[in-house]
Amino acid sequence: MSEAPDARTPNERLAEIVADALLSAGLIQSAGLEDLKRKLAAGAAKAEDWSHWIGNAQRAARRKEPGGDE
Amino acid sequence: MNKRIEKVTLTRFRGATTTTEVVFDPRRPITFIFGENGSGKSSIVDAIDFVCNQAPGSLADRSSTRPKDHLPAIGYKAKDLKVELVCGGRVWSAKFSGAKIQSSDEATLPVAHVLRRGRLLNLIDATPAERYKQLQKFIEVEGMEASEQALRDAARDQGRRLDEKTRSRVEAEIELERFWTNEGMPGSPEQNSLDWAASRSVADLNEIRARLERLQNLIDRLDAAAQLRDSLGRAEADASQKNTQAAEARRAADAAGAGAPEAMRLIELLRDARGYIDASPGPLDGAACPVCEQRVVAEDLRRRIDARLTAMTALGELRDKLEAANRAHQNAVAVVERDRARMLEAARSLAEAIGSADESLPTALPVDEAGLRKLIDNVLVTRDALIARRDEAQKSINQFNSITQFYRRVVESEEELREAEALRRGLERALEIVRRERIAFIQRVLAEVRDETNRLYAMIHPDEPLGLDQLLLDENKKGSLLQICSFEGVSDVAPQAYFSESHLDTLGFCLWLAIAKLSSGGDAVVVLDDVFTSVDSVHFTRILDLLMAECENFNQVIVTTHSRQWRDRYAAQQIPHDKTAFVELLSWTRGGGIRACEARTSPTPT
Repeated sequence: MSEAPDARTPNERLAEIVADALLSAGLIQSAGLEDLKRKLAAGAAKAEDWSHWIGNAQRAARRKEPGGDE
Repeated sequence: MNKRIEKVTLTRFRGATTTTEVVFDPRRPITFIFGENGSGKSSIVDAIDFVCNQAPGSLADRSSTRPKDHLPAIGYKAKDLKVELVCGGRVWSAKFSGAKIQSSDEATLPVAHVLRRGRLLNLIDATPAERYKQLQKFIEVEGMEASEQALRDAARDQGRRLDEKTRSRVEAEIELERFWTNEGMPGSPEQNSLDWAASRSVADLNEIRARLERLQNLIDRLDAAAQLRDSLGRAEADASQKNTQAAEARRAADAAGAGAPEAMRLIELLRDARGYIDASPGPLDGAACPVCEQRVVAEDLRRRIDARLTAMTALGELRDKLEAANRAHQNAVAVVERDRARMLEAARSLAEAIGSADESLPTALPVDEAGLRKLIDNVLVTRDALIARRDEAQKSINQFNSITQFYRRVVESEEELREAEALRRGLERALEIVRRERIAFIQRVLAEVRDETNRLYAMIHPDEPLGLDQLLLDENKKGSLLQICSFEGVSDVAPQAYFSESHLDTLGFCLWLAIAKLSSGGDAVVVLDDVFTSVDSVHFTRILDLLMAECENFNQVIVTTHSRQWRDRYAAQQIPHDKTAFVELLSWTRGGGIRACEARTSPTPT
């Protein structure tokens, strides 16, 4: 046999790729990433989830800026 | 892990009119099932499909057939039918449950991909939608598409929220500009409306609020005093009228004669006596009168009193009128006194309010009634002016509140707008990434299928200038997959138009095998039902080489054929026996059904 079979569904594989890309772009945080991937793959991510994820990452980034809370 | 099919047992299934066991050699990855047409090859393939995919097999492609009626062997019913499959040491079975095919232990069923000759060309000749269905399993990302749609909704909603916030802020700025302009643009040109609003919003309003309260208090007291004064006036008029009426009643009584006063007293006395008799608890007969101490007969006395009163009726009525008029006058006088007291109290209260009102009003505080009445009149004249001053104060406060409110909205919305805009940009950027990655993912999968198809195709048709250029999702249609081929260096051609039938067959087979390989991850049984029919010697060798090489990517490859070429080659040991086994089917008879020889590495002698 060539390689170990990838038992993940296309949704799960794409969710992994998308989550990594969003993380690299600083649009989401690494905390809760697995839950985010599961929601994405299952089609369970709601509009408010997206606003929450991205809003949280932005607030965290602002806190780290000079003059921020941290 | 070896999950090869070891045995398939068909009972009353299609050509198996009895129970037929087809035994495979699980040590070898490839099994050839050879049989003449009508010997039962497709029945065996359908049996594998029946158990592993809970599918009706080749009947699915045939019109006017119903699996429940036509899968049972001729003369048998669905309840008589059963298929059992042994794979990797485990047993699965399938039968009909109603009209539905029911396999045991569905969750662990072996993965089997079945390709039939009849469907080979369909793969290439299919519509984009049908082709999409073939590849749907690899590229179907409905969950991700739903999440992407939610992201799109989030970005759109955020855009709307941002627009609303921006609109609200602009409205507040316009309002501040209007207030500022109405005020004559104080501080201009150094200051703008926002600077002005900033200074206004911190102004102390306590003084103006206190003045508003004082003015309102003054107006309230004035209104109360004026109302009570009017009420007193009405009471005085009423008392005067009642006085006149009492005087008239007295004059009428006086005119009744010189003895009228005494007669009236007598009437009163007689009425009292009559009342005394009526109110006595027991009969007075024989009892003494309490006044004259004479013995009386009650009924007789009552009659006599009534006769006397009747004789004085006119005088009695005059007396009643006079008494009523006097009582009404006394009551009216009492009301006047009460209203006067109230009016005077309200007027004093008004005078006090004037004292603390700090308005241009009479400041001398009168003590007598006339002075207080005059005060009410004097202040009442200024009532409209007082109301105007009160409204002006209220307007100032309202304006201050509006300016403060609009100014706060402008200031507070700055941060909110910044955050809302950042979130909108973040959502849109995320949407861009999600969409890009989804398309790239699907294109990668499609490219993988295309590359694998072309690689397999080149094994059968090396150095031929044709192949599959692209598998492409139709951006304009959901669930539609375009197929672009090249021929003799010309790209974007429809293969059906330029490829020979055998080339189309090969392309279809390679596409199918590529899909099976990529979908199974090495963990599948591949069944090829009479796929290779009229293959020339050169291509036969290449197909064989391809199967020998590609069987490594599957648990097991099962090839059925009616072509004697395969049997002869096998017999001539031109097919490697270490990787292959051979099952030969004898002629089918209704009584014997399908008759399969045991798997072996040499065919039955002809």
